[in-house]
Amino acid sequence: MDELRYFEEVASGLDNPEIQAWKAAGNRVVGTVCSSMPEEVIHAGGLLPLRVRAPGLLDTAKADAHLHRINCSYTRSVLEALMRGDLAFLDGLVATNTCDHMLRLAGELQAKADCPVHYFSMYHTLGEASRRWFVLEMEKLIRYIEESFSTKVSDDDLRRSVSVYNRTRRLMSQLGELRESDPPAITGAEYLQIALVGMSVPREQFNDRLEALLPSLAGRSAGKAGQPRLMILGGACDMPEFIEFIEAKGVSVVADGLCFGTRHYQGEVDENAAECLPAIANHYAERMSCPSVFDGFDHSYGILRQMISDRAVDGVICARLKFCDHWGGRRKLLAEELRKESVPVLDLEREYSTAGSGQISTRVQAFLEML
Amino acid sequence: MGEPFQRAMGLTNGILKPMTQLLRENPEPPYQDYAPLLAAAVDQNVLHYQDIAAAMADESRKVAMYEFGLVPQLFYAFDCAPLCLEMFPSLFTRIEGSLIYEFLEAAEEAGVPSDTCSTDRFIVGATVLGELPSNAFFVTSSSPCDGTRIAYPILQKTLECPMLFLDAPFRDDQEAVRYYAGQLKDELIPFVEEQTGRKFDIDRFREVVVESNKAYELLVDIRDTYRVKPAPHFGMLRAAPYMLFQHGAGLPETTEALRFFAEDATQRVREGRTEGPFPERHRVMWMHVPPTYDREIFPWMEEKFGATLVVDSLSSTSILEPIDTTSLETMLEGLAWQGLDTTMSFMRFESAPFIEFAMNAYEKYACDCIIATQHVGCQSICGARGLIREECRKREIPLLFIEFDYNDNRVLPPEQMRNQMEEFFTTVMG
Repeated sequence: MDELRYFEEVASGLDNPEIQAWKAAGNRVVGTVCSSMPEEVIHAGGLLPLRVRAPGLLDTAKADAHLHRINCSYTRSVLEALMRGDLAFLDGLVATNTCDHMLRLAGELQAKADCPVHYFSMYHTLGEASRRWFVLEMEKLIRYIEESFSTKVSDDDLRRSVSVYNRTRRLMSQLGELRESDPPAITGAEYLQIALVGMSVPREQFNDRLEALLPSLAGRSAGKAGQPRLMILGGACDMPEFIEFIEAKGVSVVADGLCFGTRHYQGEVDENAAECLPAIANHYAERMSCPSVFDGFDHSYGILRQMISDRAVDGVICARLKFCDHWGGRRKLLAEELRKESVPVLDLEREYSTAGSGQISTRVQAFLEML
Repeated sequence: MGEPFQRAMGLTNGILKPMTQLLRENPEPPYQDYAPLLAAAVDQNVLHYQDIAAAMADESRKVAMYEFGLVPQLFYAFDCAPLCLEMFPSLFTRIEGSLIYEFLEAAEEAGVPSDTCSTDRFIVGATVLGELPSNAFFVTSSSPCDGTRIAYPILQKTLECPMLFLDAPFRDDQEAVRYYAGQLKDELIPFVEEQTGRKFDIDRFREVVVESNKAYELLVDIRDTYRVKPAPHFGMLRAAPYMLFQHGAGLPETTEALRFFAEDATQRVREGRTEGPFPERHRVMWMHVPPTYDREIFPWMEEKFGATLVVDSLSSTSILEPIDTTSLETMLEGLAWQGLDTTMSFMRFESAPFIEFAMNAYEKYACDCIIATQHVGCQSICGARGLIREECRKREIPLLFIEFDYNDNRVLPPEQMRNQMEEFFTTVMG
């Protein structure tokens, strides 16, 4: 489909013509490494927040000498990209501590990046205290933006950015609804491509593109009716090829809880709130949480369960990155809950750059036969 | 499912208790001079576990199971019997490494990935096998690691037990301490009140804190003596005072045990008899966890290479002020700071301050090499490897990395660990 070609092309790399044009106009780009980072705050500083990825990177030899083989392949890939100079176009980086992999990646980025690196200390519980902490961290992020880029972030700037990002969230929600029909209007791989582009280009342009795309998808059929309908969960999966690999088995991936996918765009910030930063904090706490938020299972499961019901999901694939403890634990809890609902779960371990393999193929096939 | 805490009490009464008697009555050379200290440390462990067993059977008390990121004073103020679960596996492994296999396997059978930290697998395994104490509640914090953050939610679901989750801030400044202290006040105290059915008594809390301050000052005094060359007390005793504090901060008997250690160490310094049975040729800093399954490793290093463990980065590097007892707020801030910085929770530090913390200790204790362990379940210490190495190169510090599992001797058996050390001491340090 021609309308989707743009998204496919932009999603396939990190640097792209939109970023180049943005930079050529004298604007700056700040990389983030986690979907829990409040992008709208970076945007409010007149910067382009870019979720760092390493598409096409197959070898992490340089990074392996600094991080460890038991650190996940996403963090090693990001460090590798930095050390190879693939991230040289970034003007700043925001690192974090969502998990231990990220915490130590932050240390490496602080030591090795040529641009200013900000450390955003993320919470690991839900509740009033952690929301207040998130506000304090956003205030520190604003100071970093103002000091590093000689700019000012006003309350009006924040509100404008929240409005732009909320527009994305509404559009992405509409896109998600197109996955409810049987057959869905877009494939899981296409959805992920579009989601990735949202993290990779100026958001206003993305919103316009997506708004223009949506009508052309209405009434479209992607795949066949009656195919098994799957949900994909896991952490850092930004490979549409991986979803495509699964869909090629004759299934439709109609839902996901990926941090590069649906989870990134869930919910909205209250634009009418008296104070902007607490409203942003509320939004991030109310999304389906990353499993690093260790009292967040029940909250996340409620959202997930609703999605399973709305999208008529037949089975769930939990594709965790190898050595990701958080998703290892979350998968166990999920499997136990979903068993009660008679929703089968397949546990897959993958590396960041793995699109598919013989072993994954066999396991998915066996899972589908069980469905 | 076994009886709660049955195996732990079997080891306590069947092995630890007779061990103290043996140490006192028949100390073995060449470390016979230190046997009374070792016996005092083991004694405290026996009392600690016996108190937990007593609380299990006492309707008016509760066992408080908690995690690194906290220290026990507040639980003692509520007359609870605290058990730091992260230290629990070492009760088993220090006696016999294979004793934890069944716990690890039970956790894996229950669906915990085998690459998760063995401490957290042990905790889940002990839950599944019914070994954790009964009549208990749980308090956990989000540090130090990913393993913690998956073990406790599983534990809560499995036992359907009361559990409080606290958010440990991954920064190390006054704002972070206040944030954490705020949770101790607003969440922990009401939670323990609810669990125990007792009202919080600030005067009782202050008594416990004052007692723990005495213990803490003795702990600092003991550490100060390690700066003397040769260091008093052999390496196997190095972490003992710290462990005593972590178990029993606030108990008078803990203070007395630490006083015994402090007086012995300072007397040796005063009399110029700090040298152990083997001449001290190397002063080793141990970074991260020691092999809990190999208690002979430090005596072996001393005998073979004259390599004395002088300081370990987990137990000996954080020196704080005693807790200010002026008000509830100051006491809770002090408690928060101790919980965050004197336990393994300091693994939450960003890499640069984490490494600087270790390097300061290296200088302070006049070490001449570092052994840095890479526990294969800890993405945090393993992920800091590159920066540790770069810093050691810059400072020309001889460094040995040992990759192992600190609880599970099947990953790196003691003989193989010794081979790596032997190569290091005979080549790099030779």
